[in-house]
Amino acid sequence: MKTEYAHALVFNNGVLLVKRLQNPYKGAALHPLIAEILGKATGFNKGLAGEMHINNQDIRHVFSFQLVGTCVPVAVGLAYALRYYKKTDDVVAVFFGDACTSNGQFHEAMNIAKIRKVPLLLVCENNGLAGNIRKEYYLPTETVSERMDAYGIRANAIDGNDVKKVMIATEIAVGGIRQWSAPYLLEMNTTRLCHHKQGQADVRSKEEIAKLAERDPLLVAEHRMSVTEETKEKIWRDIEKEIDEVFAKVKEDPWPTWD
Amino acid sequence: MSKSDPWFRNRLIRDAIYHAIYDRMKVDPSIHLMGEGSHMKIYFDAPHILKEFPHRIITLPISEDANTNFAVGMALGGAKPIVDVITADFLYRTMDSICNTVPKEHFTSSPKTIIIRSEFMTASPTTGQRPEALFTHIPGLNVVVPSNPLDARGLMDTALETKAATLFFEDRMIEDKTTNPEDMDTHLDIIPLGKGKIRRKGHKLTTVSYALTLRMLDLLLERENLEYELIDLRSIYPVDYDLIVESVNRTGALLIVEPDVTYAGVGAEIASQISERCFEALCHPVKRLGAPRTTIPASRSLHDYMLPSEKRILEVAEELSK
Repeated sequence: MKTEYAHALVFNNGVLLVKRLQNPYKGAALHPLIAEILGKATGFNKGLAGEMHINNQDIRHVFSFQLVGTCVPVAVGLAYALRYYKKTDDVVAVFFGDACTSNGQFHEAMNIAKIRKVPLLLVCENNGLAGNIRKEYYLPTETVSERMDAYGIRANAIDGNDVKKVMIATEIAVGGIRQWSAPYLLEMNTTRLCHHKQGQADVRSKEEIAKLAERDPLLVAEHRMSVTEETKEKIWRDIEKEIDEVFAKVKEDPWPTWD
Repeated sequence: MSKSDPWFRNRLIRDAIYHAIYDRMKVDPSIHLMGEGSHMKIYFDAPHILKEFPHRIITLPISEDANTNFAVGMALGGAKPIVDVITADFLYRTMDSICNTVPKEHFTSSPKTIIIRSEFMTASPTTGQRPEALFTHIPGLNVVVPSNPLDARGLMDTALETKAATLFFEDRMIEDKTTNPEDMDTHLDIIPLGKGKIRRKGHKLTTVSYALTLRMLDLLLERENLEYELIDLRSIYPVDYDLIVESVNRTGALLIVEPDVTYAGVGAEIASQISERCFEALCHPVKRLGAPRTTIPASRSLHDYMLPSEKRILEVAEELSK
């Protein structure tokens, strides 16, 4: 398992409080993250939350939701409380997929977000799939951004597989959100390189996935790095070794019990 | 059931709820009131709250599900939300947030104070349902249904001090003339969640009820001068089983009268628990009386069929007390 995949697992349908612009999981312990996903007692939430509901208050990852759509109104409420009750300048980031925009909760939340002027960064990871359903079955518009016109919420569609573009767009977005206390949508066009869930066939052909794999964000970032092939390989090896070691350790960890 | 105006409002219970909220708001800046038309509702029901804490009232659109989830977000941000879902029928529109978001967030992270308010009326198929029993089945939710202003005030006070999600029901079908205004001004008992109260002492039969039917029974037993014990559940989750067990062990019989559909209702659970715990003491099978499993008709003349008649209650009680 690659780290970016772990991040995707955690962030999808997650609510995150953005204090500074940095990779929120940078510096966060990998061990309790993997342990929580595997249901071990050493996980962030002692195995109670699992991958679906993982939360880590240390890095202000407030909560994750399994059911599509739920995260958005909760994020709106959180952003409201922080801005108008706690009077902080925090920005709340909520992560969801394009499929979420078919859900009533999303639209109810957009309505409130705009009316209540909440500092909310809406991060839509658009991969053109809802589980194993293609776009034509759930998205009547070309983009998710178009849908935001109905609420008067500004949106920006970018290549979500390019880390640099994502960082710049996010920096601009968060600055504006903080200043104007308004919701803002970043539509990240991205790709899903693996199946929706284990044991389920993919609706796409192998050729289609292979074509999408050329846009792998790690490859895009790798091409940009001005380092030797040797260094690149070393980085890959080191990271994979670190992850493998964590997995090996987590496997030995105790399962939670109830007294 | 009352034959008076179906839009009847029980001012006293509502006033008591707002008394508790107001008193707590004065000392706890985290309490926020929100829901559909909150400004308007509070303007009519508790104008002093609107005047003193205008920024702690949040009027939200008619989007029940997002509203309750918004409240969850507020709680995550350190506030104590009281979200008003208006009538109990609307709770079905926010089942996802009440059952999937609230308790699961509490379970996997940490419990926070969230109060979901709703009221019972009776008028037609979707403006008079009583879904309270459904919520007693969901782990992580407390469900309270006070039968009088003093309990309403005390229970709201407790709910606001408890780190848990509480569904707080207000029974608008209880007639004003059966409640006492002075209740609200007398000293305030601390009412822990899950503590019932013996309303009437008796030795021939234990009757258990809550909210509307509790009031019905109270008046009926008073008028008929019957020596039946009457227990007010006050909260239907958690239930004060110790109190019921102690009483049934003394009387040897139990009659549960509920304002909700009897089938798979609150009474069914109590009947089952008491049959298990007091089998030796029971002289008769536990009996339940309540609403039929029928959609509530719109016509006022049909509402009387929605609850057991006084005649029926007396017949069954007489049988059980032999």
